Amino acid sequence: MSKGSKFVVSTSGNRSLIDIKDELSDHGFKVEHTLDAIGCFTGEFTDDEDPDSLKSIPGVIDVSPEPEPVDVGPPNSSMTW
Amino acid sequence: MATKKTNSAESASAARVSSSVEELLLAALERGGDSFETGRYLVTFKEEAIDEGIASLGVQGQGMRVADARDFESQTLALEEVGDADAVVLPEIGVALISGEAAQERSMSMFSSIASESPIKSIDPEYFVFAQDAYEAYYQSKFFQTGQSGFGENLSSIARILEAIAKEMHGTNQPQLEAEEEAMVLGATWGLTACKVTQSTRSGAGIKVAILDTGMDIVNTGHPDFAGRPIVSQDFVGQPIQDLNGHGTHCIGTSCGPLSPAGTTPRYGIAYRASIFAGKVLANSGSSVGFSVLNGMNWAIAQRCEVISLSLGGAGGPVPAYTNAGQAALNNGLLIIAAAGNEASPTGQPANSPTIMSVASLDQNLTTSNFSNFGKIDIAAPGRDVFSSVPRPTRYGIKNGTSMAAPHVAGCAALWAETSVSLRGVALWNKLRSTAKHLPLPATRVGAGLVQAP
Repeated sequence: MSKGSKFVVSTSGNRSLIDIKDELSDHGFKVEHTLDAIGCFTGEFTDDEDPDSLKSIPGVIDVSPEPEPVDVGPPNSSMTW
Repeated sequence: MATKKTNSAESASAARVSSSVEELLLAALERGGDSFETGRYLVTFKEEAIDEGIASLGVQGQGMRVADARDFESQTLALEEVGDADAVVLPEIGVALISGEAAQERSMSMFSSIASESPIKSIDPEYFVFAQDAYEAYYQSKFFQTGQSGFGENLSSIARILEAIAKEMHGTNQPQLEAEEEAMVLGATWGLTACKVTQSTRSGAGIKVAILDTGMDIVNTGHPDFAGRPIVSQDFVGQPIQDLNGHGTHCIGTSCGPLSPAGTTPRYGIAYRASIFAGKVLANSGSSVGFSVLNGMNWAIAQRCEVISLSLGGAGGPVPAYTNAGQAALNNGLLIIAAAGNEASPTGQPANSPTIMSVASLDQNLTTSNFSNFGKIDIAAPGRDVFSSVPRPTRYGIKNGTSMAAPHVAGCAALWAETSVSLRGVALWNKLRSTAKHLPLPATRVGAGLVQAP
């Protein structure tokens, strides 16, 4: 169920982020952060939409769930990542 | 006078009996000075008067709210559960831990005079205790090399003798050994020597290096080896920038540490004049939070950092958003470098993105470290027994991992970027690979080989 889960939308860089953001909103995706420098949006769906439905928006190349957390180990650990 | 009181009152209120070690450490660093005190006090009772002593803390005597270990199952005291108690008593050993505020309110300190009939034997400050292995490793000879043979533990004695002679000849007002002479005598870490950093005339001047990690030791006066060095920092995890993990400070040390560290410490850092950008994308626990890594990458690119280093990652295939970030960096003439990982498995993300340079780890004999990931590997660098800076008061420590290899590449990348304005993004990537020292090992293990400085 996509509602409430965080997703990251990656764009191709060939279209204005503002235009894409408007269309994301029309497709039920609420943008939390616009990462201008890398052409990505993070946010969540307002309802149980199919994440892949966003790929029909021109300029959108990927929609993925929030990446798995990374961990380099506890404080003062001698072995890391 | 009023300011002093406020500061000490604030400080005392941070030293609660339920405070976490992190809170205590941060407060102590903000206070400054060389003291290792936590701000709390330990009251030791006379053996024959423990019960009387415990009673004297409560309503009958000092009026403190007292938590007793006997109230917990098997006397297993969880300090976080004592809430706003002023004191916690450990009756089996006859000791009570007193909060900073409670001690201050009653003018308790190590200088308090204790009446002879008092049940109290002594009042002492509580001190932080740190793991000793960092100190022991620092004095081991194998981490230091001069150009010829390893002088090892004699290095520091030689340096001291030379300093003493210099002082004798020139008087104590003369600056001590010139930086180059010091480096020659004191040597450098094996990693810097292997990467030919010590022979390089470059410093990374004018180049911005972003380290996306657990932050940096910057609070108050900051780590002494970075005194006066401007550090641009940004948090992405909802915590102060102050590195309470150690990982971030270690990586910044390797990539950007000073030419001549304090005292007799050997050189451990590469781009000593690069501009440092510390993005805290990992919490003090070592873990990322939400989209912190992606947000950090976005920030570093927006800041136009020519070199962006990530000593972090996880299992799994390439993450499209990270690949996007890597591409955006290259499009802007910037380079993202990431550690391949320590799982002895295929390279993890973000390093496995085709647009991000992945770094494997080498041991001192230039074979791949047994933990180093493989497969998509672009280049290799020292990652075993790497000596570098860690947060005060420990100051220096040894760590292992591709996490330590990546900042070697980042530091060398900054030196190369300094040599020419055309060495940016893809061109810088290609230069690092074409100048790497070839190793008789598969490219899936070492990529183009051992990174070399210009």
